[in-house]
Amino acid sequence: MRNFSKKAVLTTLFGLCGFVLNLQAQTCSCAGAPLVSSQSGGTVGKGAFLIGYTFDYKNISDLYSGSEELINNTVERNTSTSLLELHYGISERVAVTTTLTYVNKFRETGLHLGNSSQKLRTTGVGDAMVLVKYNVHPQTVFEQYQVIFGAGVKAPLGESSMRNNGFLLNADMQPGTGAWDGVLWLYSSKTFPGMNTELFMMNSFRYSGTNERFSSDDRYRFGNEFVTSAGAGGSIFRDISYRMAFRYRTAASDTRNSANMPDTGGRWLSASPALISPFPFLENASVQLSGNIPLYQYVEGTQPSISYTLSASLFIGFGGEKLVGITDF
Amino acid sequence: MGTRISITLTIILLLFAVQCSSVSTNSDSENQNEEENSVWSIPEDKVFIGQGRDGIASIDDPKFENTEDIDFINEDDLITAIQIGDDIRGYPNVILNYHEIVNDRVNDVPVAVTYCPLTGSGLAWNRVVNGVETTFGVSGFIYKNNLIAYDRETESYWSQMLDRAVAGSMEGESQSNYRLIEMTWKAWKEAYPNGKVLSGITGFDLNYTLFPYGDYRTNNNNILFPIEREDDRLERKARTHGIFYSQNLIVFPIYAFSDEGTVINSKYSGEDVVVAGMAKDELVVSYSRELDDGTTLEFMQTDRPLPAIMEDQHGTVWSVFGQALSGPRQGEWLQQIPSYNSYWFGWADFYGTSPRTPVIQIP
Repeated sequence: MRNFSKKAVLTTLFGLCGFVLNLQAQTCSCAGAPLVSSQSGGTVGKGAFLIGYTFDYKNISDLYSGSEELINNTVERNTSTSLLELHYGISERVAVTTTLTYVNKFRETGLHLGNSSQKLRTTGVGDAMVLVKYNVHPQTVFEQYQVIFGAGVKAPLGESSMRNNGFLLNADMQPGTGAWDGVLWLYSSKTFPGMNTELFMMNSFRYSGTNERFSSDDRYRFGNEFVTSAGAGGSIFRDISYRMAFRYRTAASDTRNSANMPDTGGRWLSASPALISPFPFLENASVQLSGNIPLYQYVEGTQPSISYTLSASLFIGFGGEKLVGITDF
Repeated sequence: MGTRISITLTIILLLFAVQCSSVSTNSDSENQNEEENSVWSIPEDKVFIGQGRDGIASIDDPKFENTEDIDFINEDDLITAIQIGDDIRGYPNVILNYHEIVNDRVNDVPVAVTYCPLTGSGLAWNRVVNGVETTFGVSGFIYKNNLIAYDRETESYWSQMLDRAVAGSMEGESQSNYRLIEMTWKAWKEAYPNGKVLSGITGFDLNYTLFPYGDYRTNNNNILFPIEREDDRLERKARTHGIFYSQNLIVFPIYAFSDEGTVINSKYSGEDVVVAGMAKDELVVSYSRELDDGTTLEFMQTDRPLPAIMEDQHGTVWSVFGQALSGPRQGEWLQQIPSYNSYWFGWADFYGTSPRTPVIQIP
């Protein structure tokens, strides 16, 4: 039983952190942290507690006009985000996931001028998200698939009116969005033990609220966002696993007082390979390294877009015998 | 297990807390321009940061092509044009929309052609600042939806529609202006078929055929930054020509001119002025009617094609740049007056001080 529990914990950890893929960057249409696209898959059972820490680095220096990549020799941007995920199982089927973020945004402009470029860095606590997950169909030894539904809110903990020397910064340099958003989330997976393979799919939808960017009668709204990802995972060697996912994300244009903001919104398709391994220094812990490879993007107008993403995650589980959604490979 | 959870949580939350405390003072900026810390003559809380300094790249080494070689401009697209001496140059707005400033040399005069796509306003400034020839760049600051440029010599900030420096050592100063006019590409081709036009090969890889601000030009609700002073006498995005006289601003809606051409001889604050335009070419110009020799001219429509736009009572035909093309005064110039084009909301926000200011004149 003890051996089973350990494998169960590790498998669940892999399942969760395998989805910490952060496939999509903020384009210049988005402020804050990449919360929706960074949610882990799976859930935890009653009394189980799982902590995850992810460091995510996005280079956003490509420039696109529609689906055409342009040569960008003027601006370089990147965003690094620390995400702290706390999963707790309230009952066998219901769990709560809280995600806190800390955001570091960097922008360098005027690169074409040589040594007179201007750098701007903003850092701060980003927005947070709370999801309540309901395990519609828990995975068992006999029925090796699961369906988990979640709903929650994104809370505007991050600052969205940051100023530099008194001047209000652009929305895309703000750590937070300043708006309450509603989030729907759906995760499903099926395991094929004989093939050492798990297939999974995760969908999330964020309905954006509005913020008062310039004044109390000013309504800025980031575009709604839908993310769907699907892929497969399995064991490679001993306890080391892989994940390979394809993700499609679409974001509507931002609006200000109901008018579409230019150069916001678009569609992105990307692939994200990941390697997951037990963390040798802690029991019931795993680490993941993942990357992101953009495959296709269509942006409204002309926008900076993601060049690549690198992520590293550490997950630590507690109360493993109560984890659900496990698969003994 | 509880102790372990507590310790782990504490460590992780402490990590976050440490990060939080390091940024409690909000932004962390490197390579900060000292001028940003100087006193601004405009309300700083109304100045916003857009793309960052030189995030919109000025064109500092412009190349030109013959009009007939340009193939990326639609007939109805606008072109901004300048004439100094015999040197006539056109700057397609489809390029200016992306770069906002072209540092050029026209007839050997160092000129910065500035254009703000958000207010639709264009002004040409001399590039000699504080006695030194320099270039202008896009500062990344926005005031009343309008370009704030900076000069690379003194790093002072220049509000385009205020036509003066608003921060830095040059604060309060204005640069010499040169006549800039706008017209459709179709009109330009008729007027200056052999004219020089800014090349689309700018050194930057941008899709100039795509307007970078979506439906901004036609959607009156699409305004990127707050407007302080609204005036609904005209639609926000109505393209207008404004002329300044003795603290007064008179604004002419370009659409109200006739397609064939309208010429208005008028007197504003004691100054004799002519305003001429053609709606179909989206072209309006204004000049003083008083010549250096004391003569006051009366203008009327001309049946001569562009670049001719009017003729006077003595039979001299005048070009859109105010140059006498033929007749007794051939080669002479009309005096420039302070004037330029802008969307209506720009005039109202910058210069609207009462419900009837600026003055709107319908031709």
